[in-house]
Amino acid sequence: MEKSYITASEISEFVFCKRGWWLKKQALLETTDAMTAGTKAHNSLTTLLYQHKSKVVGAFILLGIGVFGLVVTSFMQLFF
Amino acid sequence: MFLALSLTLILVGLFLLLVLYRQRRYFGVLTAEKIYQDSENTPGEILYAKSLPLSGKPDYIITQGEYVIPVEVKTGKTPSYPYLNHTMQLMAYCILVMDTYGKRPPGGIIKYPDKEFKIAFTKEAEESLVELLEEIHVAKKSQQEFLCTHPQHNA
Repeated sequence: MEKSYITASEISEFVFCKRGWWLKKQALLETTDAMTAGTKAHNSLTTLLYQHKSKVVGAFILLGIGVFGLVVTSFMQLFF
Repeated sequence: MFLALSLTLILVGLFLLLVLYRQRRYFGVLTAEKIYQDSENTPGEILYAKSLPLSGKPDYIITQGEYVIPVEVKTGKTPSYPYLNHTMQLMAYCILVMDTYGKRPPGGIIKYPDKEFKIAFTKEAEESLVELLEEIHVAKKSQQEFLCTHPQHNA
């Protein structure tokens, strides 16, 4: 086999519909609506993941400040 | 006053963590440690197989213990079983992961909106993929026009 690379997504297209794959090869079909929607959804999922991570960090910071405040307050009440 | 403020912050923090923990289910396997991802903001590099004419960019590659596992995210309706074309795409990513990271993954994960499927990367699947690559390679070289079993696709 020659080294002209076949992409993994091309495999999916070929298995799903050989004609769709063939049309794309002939440059008659640039992108499909489904592909555009899929890319958009994928990107928004990644953004949501980042936001989720930031929120978790934020919640831990709040918790940390609260615990710190509690310790300081308890300490002050004990000794002052 | 400081005591009340501290207690409020602790309660709010705990509440938020609880809510976020429940949201975690939506992300499923994607909350695992990722060593690769391909998105608009952080485009992944193209992976190439060493022994086959195969390349690609998986959506994510995660680590679970000593294993390196590709994850493919799919949108649309969640099927009862993963579609064959998605499965073959995932097997291709398994080969790319194996050649890139030097470890054979036990399988990969296809994440549909409502369900995740873990698919084993077996020797049989690997052989099927090699045969499929050969078929695509031949199809690429030929001038044959492909028709489809779906009549509307032949228009």
